[in-house]
Amino acid sequence: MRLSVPYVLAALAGVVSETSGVVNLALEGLMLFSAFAAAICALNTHSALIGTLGAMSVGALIGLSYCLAATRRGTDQVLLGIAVNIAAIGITRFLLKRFYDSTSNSPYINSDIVLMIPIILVVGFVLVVLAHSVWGKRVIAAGDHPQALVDRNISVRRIQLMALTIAGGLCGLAGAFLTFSQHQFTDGITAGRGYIAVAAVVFSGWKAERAILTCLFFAAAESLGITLQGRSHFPPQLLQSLPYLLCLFALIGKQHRGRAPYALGRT
Amino acid sequence: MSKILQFVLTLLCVGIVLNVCAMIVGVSPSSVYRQLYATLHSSYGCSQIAFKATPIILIALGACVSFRTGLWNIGFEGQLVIASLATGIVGGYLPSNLPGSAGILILLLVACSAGAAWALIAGLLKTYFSAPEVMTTIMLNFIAMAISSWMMQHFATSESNHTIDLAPQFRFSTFAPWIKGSQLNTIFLMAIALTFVLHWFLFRTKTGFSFLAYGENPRAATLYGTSKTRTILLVFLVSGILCGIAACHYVLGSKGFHEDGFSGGVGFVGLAAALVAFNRPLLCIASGILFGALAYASLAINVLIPKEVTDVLTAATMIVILMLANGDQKRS
Amino acid sequence: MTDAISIKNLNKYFGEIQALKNINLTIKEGSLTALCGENGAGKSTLLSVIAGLQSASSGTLSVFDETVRNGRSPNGLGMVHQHFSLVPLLTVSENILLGDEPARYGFFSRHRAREIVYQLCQTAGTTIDPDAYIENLSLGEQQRVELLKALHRGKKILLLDEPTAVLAPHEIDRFLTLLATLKTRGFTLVLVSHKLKEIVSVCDRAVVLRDGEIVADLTPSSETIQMLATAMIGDHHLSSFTFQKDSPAASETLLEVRQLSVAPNVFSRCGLNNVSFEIKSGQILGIAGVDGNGQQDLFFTLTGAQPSSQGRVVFCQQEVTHASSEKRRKIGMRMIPADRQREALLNHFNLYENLYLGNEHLFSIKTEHRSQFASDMIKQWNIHPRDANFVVNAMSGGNQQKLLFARELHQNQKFFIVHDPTRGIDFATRQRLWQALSQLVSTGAAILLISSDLEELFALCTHLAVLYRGRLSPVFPINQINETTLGRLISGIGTEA
Repeated sequence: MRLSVPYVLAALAGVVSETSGVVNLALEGLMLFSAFAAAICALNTHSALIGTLGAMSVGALIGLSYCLAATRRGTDQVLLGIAVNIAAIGITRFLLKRFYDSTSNSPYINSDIVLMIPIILVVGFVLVVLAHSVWGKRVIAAGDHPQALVDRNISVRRIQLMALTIAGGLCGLAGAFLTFSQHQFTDGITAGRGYIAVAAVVFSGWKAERAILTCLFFAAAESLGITLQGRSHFPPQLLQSLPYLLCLFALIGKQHRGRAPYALGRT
Repeated sequence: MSKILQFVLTLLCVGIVLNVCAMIVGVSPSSVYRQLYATLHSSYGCSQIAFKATPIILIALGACVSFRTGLWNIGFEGQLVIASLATGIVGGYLPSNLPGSAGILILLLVACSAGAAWALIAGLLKTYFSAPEVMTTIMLNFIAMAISSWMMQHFATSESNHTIDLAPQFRFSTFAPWIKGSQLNTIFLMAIALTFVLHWFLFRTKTGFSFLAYGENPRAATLYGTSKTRTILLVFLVSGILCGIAACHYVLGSKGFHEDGFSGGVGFVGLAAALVAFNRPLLCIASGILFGALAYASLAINVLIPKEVTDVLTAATMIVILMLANGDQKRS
Repeated sequence: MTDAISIKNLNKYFGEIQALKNINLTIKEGSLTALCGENGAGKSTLLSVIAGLQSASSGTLSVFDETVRNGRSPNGLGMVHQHFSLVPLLTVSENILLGDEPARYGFFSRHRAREIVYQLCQTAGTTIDPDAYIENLSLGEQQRVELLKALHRGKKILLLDEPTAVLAPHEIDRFLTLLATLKTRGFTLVLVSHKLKEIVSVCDRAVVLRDGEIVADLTPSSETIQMLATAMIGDHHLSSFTFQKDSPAASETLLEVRQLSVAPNVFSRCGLNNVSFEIKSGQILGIAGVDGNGQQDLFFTLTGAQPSSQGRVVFCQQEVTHASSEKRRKIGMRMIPADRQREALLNHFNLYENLYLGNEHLFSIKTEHRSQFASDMIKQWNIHPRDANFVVNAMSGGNQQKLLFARELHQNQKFFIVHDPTRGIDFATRQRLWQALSQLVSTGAAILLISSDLEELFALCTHLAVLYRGRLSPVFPINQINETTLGRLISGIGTEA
């Protein structure tokens, strides 16, 4: 259960972004940036709450910038997302070295904040908003058939900016959760979860509830891997890669799962 | 916006980012540049740049071919790791009385096959299941690293955490006799040669043309005689082979063995290099050298700024070029 | 009754081409008028001028006695296009009310939305489930949603462009009843259609356009229907540009198609239904019919780009039903699709590279010979600009088409499938291309010419058949078909559909 949080939040962020029509592969990077931001804020203010808020703001800000860059004509959204992820790895490593003089971990963070409940609330809220609110419907329109919005003089770009900012905030929450649950920031703390979240989004046909379920599966795979490491003779590294393998199989079998928003990737 | 302008702007941005990083660390940018100049000015420095550039060039070539065909192959890191793993293991067990050239040939073959096999997984998944190659290749990257760390448990020698050292006759001699202390080896020359080969292939053969056509307009290409399956599989094959050769640069070259984490993200740097080269094979040499210089430079200024700055600079370059390029990458 | 739409002396030019000539038309409120004609007759252009999507070059247009200024969309006038502007992932009510959503604390009020939709349905005299998702609706139902959308915005005049093109046969009646109901409720309707049978059943008035002019204005009925059909096609078939058509003694059968069927799909709503025909060497078989009756399916299935669901295709005595395009090209098929930019050209590449596509053998010859070849082609086909390094995107349509012809025809292969080869192309180039096509068959080749342009078909073809709703009429030798039959086949009179 606990393990699934980053996956779920990231996947939800992915669904929100891509439903509005913007390809978002940067979930990994967003989480990583935010995780680091959470660490810095918490260490400097000794408050996990500020850390969480800091993480979410960083995430939202980067999400917004990503959207601005991604929705310019001709920008390749796929590669941009990957670039953001590379940037995240680089920048966090750099700052980690600079501030804490280590290449892999930050100092211990005394963060005993209970994030689970707010997270569940947030997830629920976002799900409801996306499915039932007026704004949520417009997001769906933006990604599926933006022309309908254009015909009514509604700005598609603004909807996308909002959506990506929210997605960034969600990843921010995920990043904060990662850092605080491990009580420190580690290099590469996200470990590809962002990419798996993207795969979950694709696999679940861009439907939020299904994406969350898929993430629970991946989390289960991860926890299975961890449990088996202690118990069985299976090589631990291969068990660690269980989520990735599962993801691979999911990508193979995604054919009948429903389709992408028609206008995904087209600005 | 002309390509030259884009390139210059990118360099400018790199400079700016470097300045920012310097300021964050609390070091004056000018001292950084002075240090850079000092190190780059020596022949040792230049050869080290070429040394670092070699795998980048190879991977960038693979990326060029993939992107021009419209395939988002991001899996170079994984292909590199698997190729290196295979080569390291096999190389450790080669009989020591095997003549050097035979051994080298065998290992080159092993490397290329391993890289190609790993790459083809993604290729086959795309062809027969329409699995999006962006995601499959990324997953395969992670899986490759997991396999590598698992295998290391069995194959690493007891004294070290890498595979058995290759017997000296199997390794490429360095250019040290000519350039003192240099680690540059023959693979660098191979990389240059391959650049021209790939340029010729892409722009002067009919198969290469079918790749380009497929990337430009897949519907037209398939209607007029290009086989989708063959195109996709060939592209991944080429990418895997190039990663295999890059693996040899490490295993047969500077290190003599395979160890976990040797690549240091070079798979992604190669990607960035391809973008900066506007997906043109010939320019890959230049952009490979640029990124090689960045990598080496960050080592050189390590006393001033943490060497991780190179990752930051790579990413910055990538982002800037993506924003400026406006989809130019596919055009010839 | 007031005049809903009043058009006086309307002319419309596209560059040098005059699409509409001196149109004078008054449409009364509460009437149902049909604009009929062939492809290119001007009916769609007229409709879009009325809708305000395009501006007239001269003349006046008034809607409800209010003169419409150029380029503005008139008030109270709504258009339903062939391609719907609906969001598939949202429901009917969400689509209709997009931008105007009834809300409670920011949340979509489904309850009130349903009410609004019910009201609209009452006004229109139709029903639809407000909570159904668009992607699950049939095209006929989607069309109704588009109509309701227009009604919601208070439009009193509705313009419909080929509305029954997307409908399945059983939906057509329902749709026509809907139109009749709307008429009785006081709405003014103008539709563009070539389906005379349907027009006869509901419209009060049929205005026939040909070559941009109004040539007939009648009350459609079973007596006048033949007159309408004839008026539509006019005397195009008596073109002065007929090419030499001495069919050499028909020898081998090059293409044999047996009961080819394709399910309705994204490209064409009607697919293909048991199409069978044969083409022998030296023949040019023309497939006539207005767009949207299965032409694209025919083209893509025969060229190997799309699979068929049933049937056999035998090409040069070889079974190619499931063969790839590559294989068909190897045997000797060459193709020119209708939508050049999407299906045949490498848009951002230059002329050289576009010549190579499909002509890989060019790579094995020396560079000098290749440039020689390119300049030969440019000269032979008079392609502008003369520089082979020019990017194809920047070339005019006519030159792009000449390039395609150059590329496909130079190897003197045996069989050509060509779809709308001269659509939208200037007169001189058309002649040139026609000449090239007719010269091909003198060497024993054969051509399948799919076209919506009757003049073209009569100029070139030795045989003719008509595609209507995916079904192919029997094949007639060109001199055995007369206007009456042709008119009937194209407009679907006499077919069950």
